[in-house]
Order: sequence, then structure tokens, then C-alpha cells
Amino acid sequence: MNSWRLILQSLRYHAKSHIGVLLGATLATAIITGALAVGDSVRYSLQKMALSRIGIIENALYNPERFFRTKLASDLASELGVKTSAIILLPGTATAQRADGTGGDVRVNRVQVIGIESDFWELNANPMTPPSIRGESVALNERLAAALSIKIGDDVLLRVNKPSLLSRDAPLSTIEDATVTLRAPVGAILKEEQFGRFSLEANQTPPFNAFIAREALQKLIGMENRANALLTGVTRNAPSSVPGTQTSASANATSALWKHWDFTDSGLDVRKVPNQNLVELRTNRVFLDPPLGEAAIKAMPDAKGTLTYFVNELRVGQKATPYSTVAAMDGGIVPSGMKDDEILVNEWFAQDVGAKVGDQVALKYWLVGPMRKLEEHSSTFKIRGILPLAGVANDPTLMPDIPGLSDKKNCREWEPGVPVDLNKLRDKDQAYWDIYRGTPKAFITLRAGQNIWKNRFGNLTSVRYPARGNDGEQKVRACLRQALNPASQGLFFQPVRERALTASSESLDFGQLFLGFSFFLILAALLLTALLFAFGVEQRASEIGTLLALGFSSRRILAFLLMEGALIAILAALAGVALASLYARMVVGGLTSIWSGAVSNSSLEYHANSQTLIYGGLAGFLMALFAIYLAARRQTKASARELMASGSESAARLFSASRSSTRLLPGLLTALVTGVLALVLGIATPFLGVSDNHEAESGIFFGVGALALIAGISICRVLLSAGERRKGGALTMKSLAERNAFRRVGRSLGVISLLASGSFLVIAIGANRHDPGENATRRSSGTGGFALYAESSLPVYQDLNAPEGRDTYALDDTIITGAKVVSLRVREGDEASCLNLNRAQTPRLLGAPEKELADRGAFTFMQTQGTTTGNPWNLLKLQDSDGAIPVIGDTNAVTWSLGKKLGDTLDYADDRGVLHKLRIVGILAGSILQGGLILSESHFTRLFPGDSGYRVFLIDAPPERAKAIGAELTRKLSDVGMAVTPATDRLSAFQTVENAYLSIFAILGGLGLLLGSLGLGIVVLRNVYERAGELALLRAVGFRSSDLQTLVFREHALLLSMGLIVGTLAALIAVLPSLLSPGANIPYLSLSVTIGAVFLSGFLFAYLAARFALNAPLLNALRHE
Amino acid sequence: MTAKRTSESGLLLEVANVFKSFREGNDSPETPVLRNVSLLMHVAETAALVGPSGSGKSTLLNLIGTLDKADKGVIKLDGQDLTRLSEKELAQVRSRDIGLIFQLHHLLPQCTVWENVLVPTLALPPGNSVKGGAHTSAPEQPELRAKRLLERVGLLNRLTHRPGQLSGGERQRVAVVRALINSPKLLLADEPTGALDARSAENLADLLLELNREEKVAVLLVTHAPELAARMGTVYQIQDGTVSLQ
Ligand SMILES: Nc1ncnc2c1ncn2[C@@H]1O[C@H](COP(=O)(O)OP(=O)(O)O)[C@@H](O)[C@H]1O
Ligand SMILES: [Mg+2]
Repeated sequence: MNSWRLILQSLRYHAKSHIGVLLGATLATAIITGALAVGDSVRYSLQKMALSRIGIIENALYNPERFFRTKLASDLASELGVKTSAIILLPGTATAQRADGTGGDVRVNRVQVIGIESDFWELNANPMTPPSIRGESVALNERLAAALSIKIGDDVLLRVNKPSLLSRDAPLSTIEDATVTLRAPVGAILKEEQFGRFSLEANQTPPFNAFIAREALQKLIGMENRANALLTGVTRNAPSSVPGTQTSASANATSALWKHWDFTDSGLDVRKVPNQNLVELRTNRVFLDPPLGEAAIKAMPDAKGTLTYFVNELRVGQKATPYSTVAAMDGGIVPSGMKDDEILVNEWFAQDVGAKVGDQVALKYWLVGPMRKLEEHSSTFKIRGILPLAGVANDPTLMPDIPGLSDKKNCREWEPGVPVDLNKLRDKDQAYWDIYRGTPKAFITLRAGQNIWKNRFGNLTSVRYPARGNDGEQKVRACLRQALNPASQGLFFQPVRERALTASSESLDFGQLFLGFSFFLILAALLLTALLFAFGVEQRASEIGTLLALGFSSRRILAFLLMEGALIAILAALAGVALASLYARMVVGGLTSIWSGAVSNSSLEYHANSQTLIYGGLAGFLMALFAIYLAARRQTKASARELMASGSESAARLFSASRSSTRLLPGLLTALVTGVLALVLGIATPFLGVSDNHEAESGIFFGVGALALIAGISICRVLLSAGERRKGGALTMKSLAERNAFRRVGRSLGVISLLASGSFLVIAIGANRHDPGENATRRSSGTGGFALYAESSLPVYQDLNAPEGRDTYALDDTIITGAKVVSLRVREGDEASCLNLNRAQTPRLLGAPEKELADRGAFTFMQTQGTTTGNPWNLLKLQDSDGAIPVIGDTNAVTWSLGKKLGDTLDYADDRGVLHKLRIVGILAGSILQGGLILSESHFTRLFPGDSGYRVFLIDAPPERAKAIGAELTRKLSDVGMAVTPATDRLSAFQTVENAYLSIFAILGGLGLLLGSLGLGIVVLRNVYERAGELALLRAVGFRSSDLQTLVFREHALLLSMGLIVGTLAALIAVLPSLLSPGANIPYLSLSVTIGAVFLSGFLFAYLAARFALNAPLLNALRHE
Repeated sequence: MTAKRTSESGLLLEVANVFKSFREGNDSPETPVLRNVSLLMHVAETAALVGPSGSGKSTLLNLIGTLDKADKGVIKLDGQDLTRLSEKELAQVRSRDIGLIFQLHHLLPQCTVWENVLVPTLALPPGNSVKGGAHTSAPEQPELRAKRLLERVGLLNRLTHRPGQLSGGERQRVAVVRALINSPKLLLADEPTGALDARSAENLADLLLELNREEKVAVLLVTHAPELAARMGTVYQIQDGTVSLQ
């Protein structure tokens, strides 16, 4: 005989009563572990998606408007020893052109049109035979093919934006030929395993991909031998999973790129200036990017910058010369003493207008405002001198390559991006153009020129260097190669693999989420475990008493019981872990079917790490053991004499002995309930906040409801205590039942609190749904008061509010009148909304005209940084002293997608690879602006000059005409892939996520409540056993056993009803606002089913327990008296 | 060591001026049960405690058996004042110096006869193995002792039975062996024959007296049966809260 033997014998002997404990603990473990495994599954699935989207790509260089030589790919491949591929990646739209002639009306927006060579397919995660897309045929991914309902052999019409060397927002650029289309037969439909999911953005929804031969696409957009994205594969020897190594790998790739970079990769040219001892740096983008211009000036001493601009006229008095160039420069022709208000003109011009030294010349020229709003400005200069049209003054190379101008032989064919009145051109102008081309007719100082023509695309059109010696040009080239970092022209690699893995590993933790959702279920299972164990131990009271009498210390006995419990808990942990996989599979199944809204329809598969299983099992074991400990400790506190005595008198004494804990219990329970509430609300509230413009109001209601709950429970307590003290009165069955309920105030209150708080949470959270349409017209609502939300696949450059913009798209004024459009610029990135489970690494950015939003007072701010006078949107204008750029985000985007809070910053690379800090200065209540961060348009254009045009539109429209306006915009702007949706629809899309969370919570919470009502049954059993003597006595004096059943049942039905009524009433108060809102989609049915089921099961369990307990031969209890 | 203080003629138990009262609820008045109770027992003596039901016999026995605490007064076992001991020390006293037998056997239903008998050895503090019977100074292996005693009470053929498979008399004999397994100096028996038929009661009484002689253990026995009381060396009468010699 040893202690172990005793423990094992006990375990065996009491096996039957332990089964319940085992089940309870198993359930708790299964739910905990299962929830964690759900988290694993989501993470795993996201990671799998991430890897299928980027294949073996480690770094990517992608700048939509920068086209470099495709040769760089092979140069880098040999330099880095990795696989590479140069591709063209363009946004576009696709229209079906089925063989049977249908489909022309099926258009898909936001298509990635991808020009590839066969080397691209080698970057797929698993080896594959490249799809045959010879010549003109195109391969679609499954999602795009499905969206177009198109099959191999059908045609597809792809429309892409023709890249422009010069930003289409820049002066002198043209938007005439902005889009090009290609009709091609579908040659293949690519599955996910065939790289069909390829995308550089961390979104879980697969992209729409159309792959075509790179050469065909190059031809289409006029970019022969060029590409705008360069992908490098993982290095074979460096494990790609070590975080941090990729960042340096991307830096490596960027510096390797520098080695092989040539000026032409950035659209630059270095060449000798004819007839002058100068070497010049030119660009095919008209303006040298500001950082490039700066670097070029600093590259060598004696570098001189030039800014040559196209002016509409040069006027002296009544006479004017139309359309000429004017150069602003230092040195050369322009003497160092020349003043900024002076101008040198050539003799051709002087003759043309009859100008002489000292005359005033007025320059008229276009400047481009936002939305390509052209404004004609003018400046006057005093003629300082007249130059002969020869030597350095006869220098056509001073004119930059202006698209639509430089390449035209006849000046009557000019098509610059600004309006020109070709009728103004005279024969002599054509003659000048024939001989002198774009030779400037006038010269001003560089400073004067930059003052009037400087814009965000640059303030220089070329930089000139003195060429010393024979190899002067070579020297300049060498110097410039050193000085000009391709990264600063947008050619730099980003660690896409590292980001993809981080995005999935830091994704929304569904493990935590489900732990929160299953909170009640776990609590109920543990409660059941504790109750059953306590009950089992109580029935062994005399056994424990004997051990005490035999000289065992109570600590020793507690240890015995705990060992026994631990063995059960270990078994339960093992069984629970096994069961967890089943549970997790069920939840994953639910998430891919009925709750798919919660994960935005992503396909998930079950996956659990062994670590998770171990932790889950351990957690379940410890929690069960703790529950058992609490139950056992209470029991072993009673004394041997009390425990060994049998019969009613002593049993009653046994429990009066622990009176102190009874008194503590209500306090503990109140604390518990408040704690549970706080916890669950803490977990759940952020999910409930989407789009509620009365956040504060419903918060108050919720708070009042919670207080009502606590008050209700307190009232129950007072009633019970009052009942306990009330002595005498007629002894009826009813009063007996009441007295019994009153007798154990602590336990009764426990039952009431549990049921009340459980039903409160299930109803309050389940019914707390919001109506997206509610107050949608208010500026403070989640729609910002906008009726429509629109997004285009290709940019819109003009102001859709202005006549020119409306004319461009032939919008019908009678329909469109009354619509007001706020246009936003878009920097593509990871979707930062609850629709993306990944942690957004480089979120989408929206450049917004903050004034428009501030004037409207659109949207509601939950939090803003600092004290703002006026509208918080104005915060966007500021720039922090540390250079951080203020951004505003939706609460869901900031909290869930980015995992940030107010005041946090995130690093973001601009077009040139320069890292900027974006600081979150404001957080919006749930709104249609989820999906990205918003910054001021002025900051946006400074950071991303390459992202031209507008792609997101918030549209004010009279409610009754919103639909027609939306239809008109969709139709007329179909070329840019305009998709218009009612703002409330967009809001509801976000709310499906929230609603899915709510129904998950309601279901799991309901299950928890059911389990809790089973606990009630156990409480009934315990109560009956404790009162065995008393009940036996009642029978001995002539009560029938059915009378006693009724007695016991009534007593517990009283508790059940009190609990559920208090909980339900308090919950109704809490959700009053949503109950009153007409459009809220409250799941009345499922909620009433839940509560009804809890009522029924509670009654059932109470009844069964009463029957079971009272069927025992009660008179035994009297035998020893 | 307690063993040194013990002598053949020495005093074993001294109960002096003990008071004990109970109260039902918090507000109800106290009901005195024991009022100035004193009694003495010598080593290996036998005594009976008789009195009407509810007179406080069990209460007194529980006080001596350290299952309950006296309100006032001194209870000395082997010269050691039990009222001053800590919970831990009391548990030790119960396991080493006192054996208890109740009207109900209180055997562990999950254990066999053999195991039930050995359970008290587990309660001994580690390293403090069972000493031999009071008559011998050489320590006796608990298993040997259990075997000897079970043989002595005629249950050797019942070792692997569970309490549920035994008759009332057999159960009570197992309880007796269990009470003696750690060689206590004092055996307290509270109506041990109360739940037995006349024959079994007679047998148990014989057994107790024989063991008293063989194991040199003092026996204090509560009983309603005058003929059983008469077989004890001393008979104490308890009435109105006080104890007197009969
Ligand atoms: N734990 C207790 N609480 C209250 N009263 C008690 C308790 N134990 C015994 N009593 C009371 O003390 C008196 C003596 O009880 P007891 O010693 O069991 O009597 P006996 O064993 O002589 O029949 C009785 O009136 C009994 O009700
Ligand atoms: Mg008694």
C-alpha cells in the first residue's frame, strides 16, 4: 500500500462520478486548443496563399511608370546568381468577347495586365510548363476567367493605360492617347498552382490576372525592350525564412542594380552639346526629377542647370510671337550680372515684334493646377540685349524632348498636352521650326525661370557640364554614374517575400478571436468540471472524514484529491487535444461556409502546429486542475467530525461551517460578472464599431444595460436574503421551495449570475447590429454623407465637377447635375480593411483634398492627435517637426489591419525609395474609407509624383437621383473601369464581417449557456443530496416522492427564471438603439431560439436532476439516527 | 519520546475540567454539553462511558480523539497537553497514539480489506515507521503486523474483499485492525457494537478485551449496553454534562 495505490484505487472506484469531470475538462481543453488551432489554420492558409501569390520571388522592383531595359534582368541574374524576370505590370480592365458574340457587356475592373516571358514561370513555387501564350494570345487566371465567364478560345478585350514618360499630371504632358486596347484570344486559364494568383500586394482575395507575351504588350504601349517590374527569386543558399535577411537582400539587389544600370534605364541621356565644349544630361520626361536634378548639379563642379519652358506667346506692345521656348539658365549666354527681371531675346524675335533693348516683353504660359486645371499666367521682363541667332544662342538642344512637339516635323502637327491654337502659327513660325527647331527665342536667369515655372515634377530640364579634354564625355558619364542612384529614380527593390510572410504571420489572430468568442463555452465547461468534482468529493465526505480521523492532515488529503484530479485532467487534456482537431475542423468548415463573411470568403484549410496542441492541452490541464483545486479545497476545510457524521443535521452543519465563504461568494460573483463583461466587451467591442455614427450613444446604452444587469443581480440577492430572514409563515410546498432557494443565497446567486450574465451577453451582442443605411445622408455617418463611392481601374486626370472633365467623358449634364465629386489619388498597396485578414505591410494610400472633406465636415473622428481648432481633416496639411507626414485612417484599418494606434508611425517608401514616416493623427469611426490611409493630396503628390490622376471618388448626389448618376458614371467612364457603388453598400460589405463575428459569438455563447444550464442540473443534484435527510424526513412524514420532485423543481425553476429574466431585460436595454433602428438586421429568430433553448434545457436538467436524486432510497439517510 | 514517558503503571489520559458547548445558528443561545468534566485513564486500562442519548458521550470522545476542541479545560495524553497542539501535531497524535472506532465502520469503499487496514500507515510522517506493539521494543513491519492482527480477528481469508462484500461484524473487525495498525496507546470506540446484531456485538467485545491485553492498548468505549460496560475495568457515567464514576 502506498499513496499512489490509494489514489489509483479511488480513481477506479469513483470512475463513474469522474466521468462528468473528465467530460467537462475535456470539453474545456478541446475548446481552448481548438480555438488556437483555428488561429493556426488561418495563419497557415494565409501563408500558403502568400506563397502561391509570390512563388519564389524574394524581391521586386516595381514602379508603374518607370520603364527600364529588360536586359537588366539577365544582368542581375548573373550578378546575384538568382532567377530573375522582367515583366510589365499594368492596371487595366477586361471585357469578355465570347465566340458566340456575347459578353461585350461583361467588364471586370482592377485587372492586372502582365507582360511576361517564359522566365517568369520559373518563379512559380512549383515547376510548371509555361502556358502557351505565343503571339497575341492571353492567359487568364481562374478568377478572371470566371468573372468574365469565358473559356479557352473566346476573346478578351484588355484595356490598359499607356504609360507616359512624363506624368500625366505634369505640364506639357498629354492625356489624349492615355489608354490602349488589345483584343486577344484566351490561350490558357491558369490555376492557383500555375501562378495564377501572382500579385505583389498582400491581399487575400486573388487578383484578376491577364498574362500576355511581354513583347506584345511592349508593342502595344510603345515600350519596346522595356519593362516596369523586375522580380528576383530567392537565393538558394540563404534561408528565406530568417526575418531581416531579406531586407538586406533587397538592398543587395538594389546595389547590384546600380552596377548594371545605365542612364537609359531612367530615361536619361548624356551627350555632347554640338559645337560647344559641353556635355549635357537630358531626360525624356521633360523635367529632371527634383532629387535627380539636385544630384546632377552636385555631381561635378561647374555644373549648370537649365529650365526651358514652352510659352504661349512673347508679346511686346501690340505684337506677339506665338508658341516658342524660353530658356532659363546661368552662365553661357546669360551673363552673371543679369538681373532676374531682365531678358535676352534673339534677333529673329526682335525683328518679328520690332523689339528693342529696354522694351518690356510679356511671357504667357500655361501652369497646371490640381486636376490638370490649366491656368494661363504671364510675367514681364525688360529686354537687356538682343542676341544674334548664331553660336551658343543657336542651340536647339536647349529644348527638352516634349511629347507631341519635339518629334513633329511640321509645327502645325503639334499636339502638346496643353491647348495650342494652331491657327496662330504663321509661315515664318514654320520656317523657324524647320531651321532652328526648338531653339529658345529668349533667355532669362535660372532663378527667374524657376520662380515662375517650378513644379513638382522638377525645376530643371537639363544639366550641362564643361567637357575637359578628349575624354570629357566619358569623365562626365563616370561621375554621373557615381552620383545618380537609380533608387532615387524609383528603381529599387522591395522585400516582397519578407512582407508577405510578415503579413500572414501577423495577420488577425483568429485563435485569440475564437478564445474570446468561446469564452462562455470554456467558462461553462470549467464550471461544470468544478461543480462535478466538488459534487463527487462531497459524496465522499465521510471517506475524507475517516482519513482525517486516521491522522491525515487536510493538506495531505487535498493533495490526494488533487493527484486524483490531476490524473483526470491529464486524461482530459489528451482527449481534449484529440477532440480539438475535430472542433477546429468544424470551425474552419464554418468559416468557409456559413461564416465565410468573417474571413471575406477566403479559402481556409485546417492546420495545427504541434506546439499549439501542446500549449492548448497544457492550458486545459492547468485550468481544469485549478477548477478542481478550488472545489477540493473547499471540501477539505470541513472537520473530520462534521464529515463523518451522516444525516441531515450534520450535512447542514457541514455547509454552515463554510459560512464565511458563502458570504464572500456574492461579492466574488459580482466581481466575476463585471470582469467577464469587461473582458468580453473589450474583446468584442472593436468588432462592433463599424459604421456606427452613434458610437457614443450605443456605448452609453450598453453601459446602462450592464449596470441594469448588475442591479438586477443585486436585487435578486436582496430578495433571496430577505426571504432567508423571513421566518414563520404558513408552511406550504411553495414556501418550502422558496425557503430552500433562499437558504443557500450564495449558490443560488451563483446560478442566477451565471445565467443572467450569459444571456445578457448573448442577446446584447447578438442583437447589437447596426443599420448601415441609418442616417447615411448625415455627414457624420460612416458614408461621410456621400451617396456614392466610385473607384476606377485607370486614372481619371480631370475634374469631373468641371465642364472640361465632364465633356471629356461626354457625361450628360441633365443627369449628372447636382453631383459633386471629391477625387482622391491612390497609391496601390495592401488592402487595409477588415476584408483583408493579413496584416497590411504597405497599406494603400489615398491622397485627399482635405479642404473638401473639412468643408463638408465629413465622417466622424473617434480620436485625433493634439488639440485641433477647426476640422480634424486640417491636420493633414501639417507636417510634424520630425518630418513625419500626417495620415488619417479608419479605426478598422488602423487597429486591425495595421495593428497601430493614434500617434504611431509607419515607414513608407516613396517613388524614389526614400523612407518617410507616416504618423496616424486621426482615427475615423467605421466608414467607407476603410481600405487605406488618407494623406493630404499635397503630401501625396510630393511623395508619389509617378501616381498620376485620380482613382477613388466620393460623390455627393441627391438621394433620389443617386442611382441614375451612378449608372451614368459607370457607363460613360467604362474605359477607365469606373465602378460606382452606393456608399451604404460599401459600408454593408464591411459589416458582413462584423455580422459574421456576431453570429459566431451568438452561437458559441449560446452553446456556453446550454452547457451552463446543464450546470444548473448539477447544482440541483448537489442541493438534493445535501438535503437528503431533510427530504427523507419529509417523505417519512408522508410526502410523496412526486411532491418532493415538484418542490425541488420549483425551487430551481425560480432561480433559472430569475437569471434569464434579469439577463434578458438588461440586454434589451443595452441594445435599445439597434432595436429601434429600422434597418438593423437583428437575428430575432436565432436569439429567441437560443434563449428558449436555454430555458428549456435548464428546466429539463433541473427536472431530470430532481427526479434522479429523489428516486434514491431516501429513507437510508435516516437509518443511523 | 513519548515511549519513555510511558510506564506500566503510568497515567495515560488526563481529562481535567473540560467544558464544551454548541450553538446552532449565530443568534441562538449556546447549549452547554460538557460542564467541568474530568477523568483519568492509565496505561492499558479499559473503561466504559455510559449515559443517555444526547448526554455528550460522543462529544467527549471526539474531544479526546482530537476531532474537536474543548472550550475550556485540559486534555493530556501521555503528559502532552492536546489542547495546545497545532493542527499538524494533532494529526500526528491521531495517526500514532490514538485509534478510533465508530458506530459505522467508515471503511474506504474503494479499497480492499488489506488496503483499508494499511491506510493509516500512509498518514505517518515519513521516516516514522510503525513501532512494534506496546509490549515489544523492536519495530514491526506494518505488513507483518497487519497480517498478524487480521489473522487474529479471523479475516485472513478476506484480504482482497471490499467492504461492500463483508458483513457488518466483519467490517467492524476490519475497522478495529485499522485502528490498531499503528500501535496506538489509546483506542477510542464510539458505540462500536451499536449497529451489530447481538452475536457480533458479543464477539467484538471479546476481541476488544483480548486485544487490550495482547497489544497493551488502553480502551475507552462508549456504549449503551450495560453488560458490555460491566466487562470494562472502570465505568464512567455521564449525566447533565458531568462525569462520575459508577
Ligand atoms: N456539532 C454540533 N453542533 C451542535 N450541537 C451538537 C453538535 N454535536 C453534538 N451536539 C449536541 O450535543 C449534545 C450531545 O451530543 P452527542 O455527544 O452526540 O451525544 P451522545 O453521543 O451522548 O448521544 C446533543 O444535544 C447534540 O445535539
Ligand atoms: Mg453518540
